[in-house]
Amino acid sequence: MLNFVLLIFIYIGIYAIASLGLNLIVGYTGLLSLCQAGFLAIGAYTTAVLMTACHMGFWESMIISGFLASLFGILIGIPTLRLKGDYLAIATLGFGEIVKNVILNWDSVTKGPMGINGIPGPSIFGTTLSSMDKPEWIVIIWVGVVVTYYFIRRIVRSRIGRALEAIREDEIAASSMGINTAKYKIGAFTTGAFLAGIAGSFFAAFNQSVAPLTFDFMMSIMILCMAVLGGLGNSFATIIGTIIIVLASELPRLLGISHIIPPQLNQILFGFILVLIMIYRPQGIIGRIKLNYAKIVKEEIFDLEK
Amino acid sequence: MPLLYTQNLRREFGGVIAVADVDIEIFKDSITGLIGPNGAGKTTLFNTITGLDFPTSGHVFFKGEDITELPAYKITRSGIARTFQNIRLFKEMTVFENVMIGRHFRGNHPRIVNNKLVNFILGRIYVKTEEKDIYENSLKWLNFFDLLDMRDEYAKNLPYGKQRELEIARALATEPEILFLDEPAAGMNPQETESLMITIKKIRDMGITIVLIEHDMKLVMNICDKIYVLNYGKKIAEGTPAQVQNNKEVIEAYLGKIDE
Repeated sequence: MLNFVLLIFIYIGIYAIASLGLNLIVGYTGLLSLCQAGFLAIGAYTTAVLMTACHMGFWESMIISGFLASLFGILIGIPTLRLKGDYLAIATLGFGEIVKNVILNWDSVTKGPMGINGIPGPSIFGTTLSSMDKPEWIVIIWVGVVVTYYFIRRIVRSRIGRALEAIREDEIAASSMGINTAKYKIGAFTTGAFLAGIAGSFFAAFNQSVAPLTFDFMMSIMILCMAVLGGLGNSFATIIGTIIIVLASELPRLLGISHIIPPQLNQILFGFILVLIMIYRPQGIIGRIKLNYAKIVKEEIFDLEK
Repeated sequence: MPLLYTQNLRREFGGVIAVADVDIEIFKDSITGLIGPNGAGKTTLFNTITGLDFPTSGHVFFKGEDITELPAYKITRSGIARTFQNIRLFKEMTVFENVMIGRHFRGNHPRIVNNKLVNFILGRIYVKTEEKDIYENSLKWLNFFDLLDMRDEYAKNLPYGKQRELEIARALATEPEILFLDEPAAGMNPQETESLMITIKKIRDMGITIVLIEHDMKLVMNICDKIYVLNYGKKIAEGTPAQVQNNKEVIEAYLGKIDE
């Protein structure tokens, strides 16, 4: 039982990193992206291939995974960021499916539908972690979550965050205020992809195996729901949303009643929660926190000098 | 030489010719008016000049350089700012933040060396001076438009006239050489229009050239040095307010042909 609770905490941490990244794209910049699972898959498979075929260590693989995912973020960002709203969402949806299908069919590298097994755990202070060392994993992943949280916080509280907010409010007005909107949008997209890549890397190393069908469209939707449920444009709320969604999807197993309730019922429950939230609190459980940039500048720049 | 001029500027939307080979010249420190009946292509002309729309053919020259193909943000950075006919403020942002966004790209600390890596490392030091510059300059413009006590209000909560003023303040924060105003007095009462007229003159006296689209003839005739009249995308008249007022074609465009 305790083991299972720890497992849930690990998954919450992994998904939190990915959903915090998505929140930067959707919540702060206002671009609807449905391919976070695609970036997660790129990160997971990069780590898997590097650690099994190239015998690299976990930490190097993780960094490479992040950068490779963000590289794909740029690649998909440049042509699609001319699109707006629904059209962008559909293009990103397509990208996610392409990633899944490439992985599924590129047998020589990804071993196709079989997935990659036997990924070694990360070594830390001379010991190699396996999936059994859950407390250690929790520490590693939640350090990742905290670092991500402060990373995003720094971005959104800075001048960059102000520009992102302006782009979300009115892109045309922002561009006629001298803001290079394409640069900021691709930047947000790439950063979100990077974080998804890191999350994917943790996912691969913790499970010690990856399979292509894990990273399907449902996963992108689930990550999007985590950000929307807590409240877009609010990192803390995103983490809360992640906790709720992971718990909701694992609840029957957690209560030990999964033999009574078939797993399909999860999705019904999950859909039910979402419908209720969208009717009664469309802004999310906690909602957006509007930053006052004038106050932030005053606090951070002027008060420091006193 | 004019500060900004267009050469045969043309914009077609399918079969409709919104702007038909228009030449205009804007001279430094002048106030130029652009008038014409609804649908004459005034806003389209503004959009093609400021980079929000691209002309089908023709060129725009600013300070002697061809800026026709530049994206909007580069045009703004080169010194052209604008406001919009249907106010486009950042509604969910505060008044102060709106002006800060206008100042966004100006807050650049002069780089000591021209090396990206060095500047990246020194970035943190620059950020402070840059943010300070943005903050203080924004305050200056808020003060100019008497918006200081509303600075923490959301832009959408401002009264209509104040929203128009805030949009001008935001445009001015980009430190333009030319300011394009798209119907600045639309929806204003006579008193507000009166004070807007004084403000526009004040801005001109600061050395900022002004181009405006306006339907309020009292305002246009009072403050403009030169007026261009558009009708169905074509330039039908240009000249001083007095010349334009007595132009037969202009009268026909506004009132229709006089039957004998």
